[in-house]
Amino acid sequence: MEASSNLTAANAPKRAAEAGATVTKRLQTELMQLMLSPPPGISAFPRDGNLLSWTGTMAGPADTPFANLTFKLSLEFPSNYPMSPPNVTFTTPMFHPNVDMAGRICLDILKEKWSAVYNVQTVLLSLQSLLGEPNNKSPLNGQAADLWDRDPAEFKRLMLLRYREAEEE
Amino acid sequence: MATTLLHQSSTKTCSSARRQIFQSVFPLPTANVDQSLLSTQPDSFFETIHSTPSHGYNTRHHPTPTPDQLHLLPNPVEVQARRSSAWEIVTKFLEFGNETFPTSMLQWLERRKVPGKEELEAIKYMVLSNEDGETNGRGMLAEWYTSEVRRHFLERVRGELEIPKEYNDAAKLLDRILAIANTAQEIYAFQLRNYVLATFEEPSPRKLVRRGRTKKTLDDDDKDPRVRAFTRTLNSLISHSLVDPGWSRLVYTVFLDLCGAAVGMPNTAEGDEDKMSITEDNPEDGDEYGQISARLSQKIDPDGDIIVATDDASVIEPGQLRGNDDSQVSRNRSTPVGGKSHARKKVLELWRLMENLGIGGAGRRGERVFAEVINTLITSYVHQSFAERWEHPSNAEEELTDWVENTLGKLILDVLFSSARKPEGYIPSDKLSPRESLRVTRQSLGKRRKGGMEIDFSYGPDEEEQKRRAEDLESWKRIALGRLGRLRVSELFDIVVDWPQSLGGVEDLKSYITTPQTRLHLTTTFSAALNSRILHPGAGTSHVLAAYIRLIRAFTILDPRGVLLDRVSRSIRRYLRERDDTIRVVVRGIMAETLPPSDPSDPDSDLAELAAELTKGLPSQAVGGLEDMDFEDMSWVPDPIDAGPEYKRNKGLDVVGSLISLWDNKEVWLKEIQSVLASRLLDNPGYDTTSEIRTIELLKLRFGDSLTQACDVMLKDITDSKRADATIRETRPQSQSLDTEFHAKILSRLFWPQSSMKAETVFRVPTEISAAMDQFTAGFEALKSKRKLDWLPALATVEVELELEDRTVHVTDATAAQAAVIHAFDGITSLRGEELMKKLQMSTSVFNPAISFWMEKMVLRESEPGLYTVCERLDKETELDTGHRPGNDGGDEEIDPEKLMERQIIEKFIIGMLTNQGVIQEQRMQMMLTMLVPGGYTWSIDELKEFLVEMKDAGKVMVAPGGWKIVS
Repeated sequence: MEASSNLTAANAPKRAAEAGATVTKRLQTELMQLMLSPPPGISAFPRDGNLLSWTGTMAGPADTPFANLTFKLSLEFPSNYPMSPPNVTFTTPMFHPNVDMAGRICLDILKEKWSAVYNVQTVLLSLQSLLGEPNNKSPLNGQAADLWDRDPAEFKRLMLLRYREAEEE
Repeated sequence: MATTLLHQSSTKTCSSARRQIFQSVFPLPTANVDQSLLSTQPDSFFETIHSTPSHGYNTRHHPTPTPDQLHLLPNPVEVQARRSSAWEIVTKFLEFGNETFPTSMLQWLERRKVPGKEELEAIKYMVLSNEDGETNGRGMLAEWYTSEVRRHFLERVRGELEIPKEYNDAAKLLDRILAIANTAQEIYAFQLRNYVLATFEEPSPRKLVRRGRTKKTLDDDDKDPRVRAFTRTLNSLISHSLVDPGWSRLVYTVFLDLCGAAVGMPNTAEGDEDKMSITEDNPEDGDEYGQISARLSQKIDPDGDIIVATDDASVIEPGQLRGNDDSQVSRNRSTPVGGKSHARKKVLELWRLMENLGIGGAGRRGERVFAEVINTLITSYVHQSFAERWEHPSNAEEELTDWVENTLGKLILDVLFSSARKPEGYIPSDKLSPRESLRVTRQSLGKRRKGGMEIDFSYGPDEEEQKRRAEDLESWKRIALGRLGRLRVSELFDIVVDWPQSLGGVEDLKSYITTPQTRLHLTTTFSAALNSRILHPGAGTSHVLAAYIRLIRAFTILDPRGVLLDRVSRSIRRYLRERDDTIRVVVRGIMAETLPPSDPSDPDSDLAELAAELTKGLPSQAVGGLEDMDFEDMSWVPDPIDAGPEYKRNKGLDVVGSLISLWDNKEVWLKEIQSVLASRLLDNPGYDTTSEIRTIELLKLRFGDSLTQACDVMLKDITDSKRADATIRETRPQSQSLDTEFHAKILSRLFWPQSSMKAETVFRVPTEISAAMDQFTAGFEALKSKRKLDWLPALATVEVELELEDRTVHVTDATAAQAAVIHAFDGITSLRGEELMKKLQMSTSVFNPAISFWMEKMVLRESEPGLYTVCERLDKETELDTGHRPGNDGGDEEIDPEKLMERQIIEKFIIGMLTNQGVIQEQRMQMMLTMLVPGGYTWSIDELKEFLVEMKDAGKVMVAPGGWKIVS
């Protein structure tokens, strides 16, 4: 396996078809890994059998305002994955300093710090830890960032309010 | 009345003696001849002849009878009348009308009425009179005769010469056409010579003459420009009526067959044999064949006598002499008629006929066709004789040269030389007009330049001729060897694959690849073959590698400088680099020596030769790039002219080196070598590492010491283990090492490939063993302080000996798990599976294979579901076993581990699916599973439903409106 990945990396010019095959192969491997040894509180599965778009499910970490809640995400993989990061968004309405109202996430490893060694599992685990430890220096949601430090109770109330919206729908 | 008078008067003027002479020669007209106008002719001739000096003078020498010798000057009107009536008689006699010629001259002569006296005299009158005057009788007659011949030929003969679009027996057709054309030509020429150009030196054309004399006349005739002109006209007529391409194809077909048989082509000879036997079966055909041959060998004397051409025999003689030998050979091969000599004779015969017709050699059409035939013959001879014959040492070249020299060359010379010997209808080149001879020279020069078949027709015994013939022979040899080379090039791929049984083929090629063109041809052809035959996904890597190895060897012999190898191996190297398992296969091959003798079905065993290659070490030349500086090297040659810029010398001499250089990065090799070495060392029950050390030492030569460091550590681990094991055992109390011999290998974790140390399979080892392990640990820690031992029982190999009631089962390479399982039965007859698993703390995935291993060995059997019993007696147990099987299969839901694994995976997928997507219908679930489950998903929808119900019962999923959902 290692030898072969070395080989493929050595053959720099690759045809598009090959690249497509690589993505599928890689995602299949990831899915298999995720299915056979799922990390606690995290799950993901291709949507409608399309390997390039997945739905993720994540439990809110304990000891955070998000505890006991379940969040859904959408993961869209580019055709040159894992060379480029997947596009990850929350589909469950989210109230979080680094998530905007449309569910878009500000996380460095999903942007400029992406690396091919990350995979679905690590991305979801990072997001899970982001829920408990937001980066308040570059907030997408100013109000949430403000309340996170100043008024946790109000934060949780607003967050639950938003969360409920979805449930009621 | 007037004529009579004239006659009377002339008679009077003659002396009676003279009259008698004339009358004896030209008797007076008989009474039954019509006395009118015709009857006057003899008189007039008589008179004319009378005026001619008859004492041995040739009319031609004194063609003009002087007027004063005539006693009576003929009246011009009478002359005119006489002439016109003579003309009429002559033309009537000579014209062919609508006559269809018989197939032989003989028949025609029989049918042809003998010219009567009056005709003769008319002819005589016409040809002898007024040769100098404005009315040249002979000239006019010749002219008329020529056009008459043309008319007759076009009207009556030409049709016969047409080649039908389809014909079955080409040989017979050609025979017929040649016979017709030849007969026609003979007849035309006969008339011309005997009547139109008659000299009347020998008064009676029907009188037998001495042969030698005749021949001389014949030669004289040939020099006669009139005969030559006539023959030329006739030849061109015939030539035009034999229309190409039909004619050439016909000749080609026949000659190919005959020449093939004549030079002993393997296949053609057989084909000929068939044909001959058919002819034999059909006696009529055979007779006709013989007749034609007989007819063809007849020659017509210009005087109308049938003689057998004596010089014919001399032409054929060499062929016959050799033919005798051949026919003996062919008799042995039971070819009664179709021997070489027969075919050879036939070829010469046909060729002679064609020469006669002016369609043979000497720059004419036959020559071209003959060249094509020879060309084809060389090619097919090479193919039939040498294709796929690659014995070593190869004598193909000598054989071929010999064949060209002694068989083919002789035939060619015979055929072409025969034309030089045939004077009739043949114009020797020295008598060609300057322009013609220039053209012929140019043609032959052009052919020579093109390297084509060279045929010179102006053979003479002089030195220049001999030299030229030798040159021709050389060029034929060159051509034949070139064909051989081409054949070998086209076979080269098979030659390489058959290596080393095909050494001879490569030897043949060596002399071929001496020019850049042939080398280029070789590399292009071979690369194409390589691409289509092996560089595709259908060929296994080990096959590609094996081909590459043979290629290296074959090309090293072929071209020791390695330029060709360099060129052809590029594509295969590029391809090998793309294959994922190349490294693995190569390393397994290189290290094959350390393998136990592998079973022949193993595809990698092909490459065991690599191990042998490795032991050869580095080729001495490859050390450094210094060989250019070696001024002592007397065998030094510069790089070949077609060496590419990237050409590296000596690259090809070393098979292992070539393979290793596939990747510049040596690390990839090392990784694989380590893992192979690890499995070798661990699989090997003892501590003996001799062969491994040897292999690694050899590999060090290639990769350098620093890279093989890890391998050194691994080998050292094993030797160290041996020492430690011995030391610890000595310190061990004797009592504990009674029935179990226990050895350990201590591996340095950091230097062994992680993959070889996978140790997930944890279970409780039998107490004896764990005690030994504990003891060993203690001993080791005493020996080497601050080192910690982690046991990897999964890697262990156990030698097990089981003593049963009726037999002893000996297993040398059981795994630890298998040993643990069977150990549990020590002293116990039967055990339940679950108990056993609990006792050994073994997971199903480890337990099931172990149990089935022993069941296969007929040591255990499943006496009832889940209950395993030891088979103490084999005969009894097998009976029971066969009786028991059906019940077992039917009553039990015992799932084999694979099936279980599959179910687990599918369950996880279903859970994952439902977790993320809420409610899903069975159909969609089925579809997504089909798409996503690795290794293929083969369940039917019913199986899936059943499984979902099971999962529901287990409380994992629940039914929801519109499908299934997860229990949260």
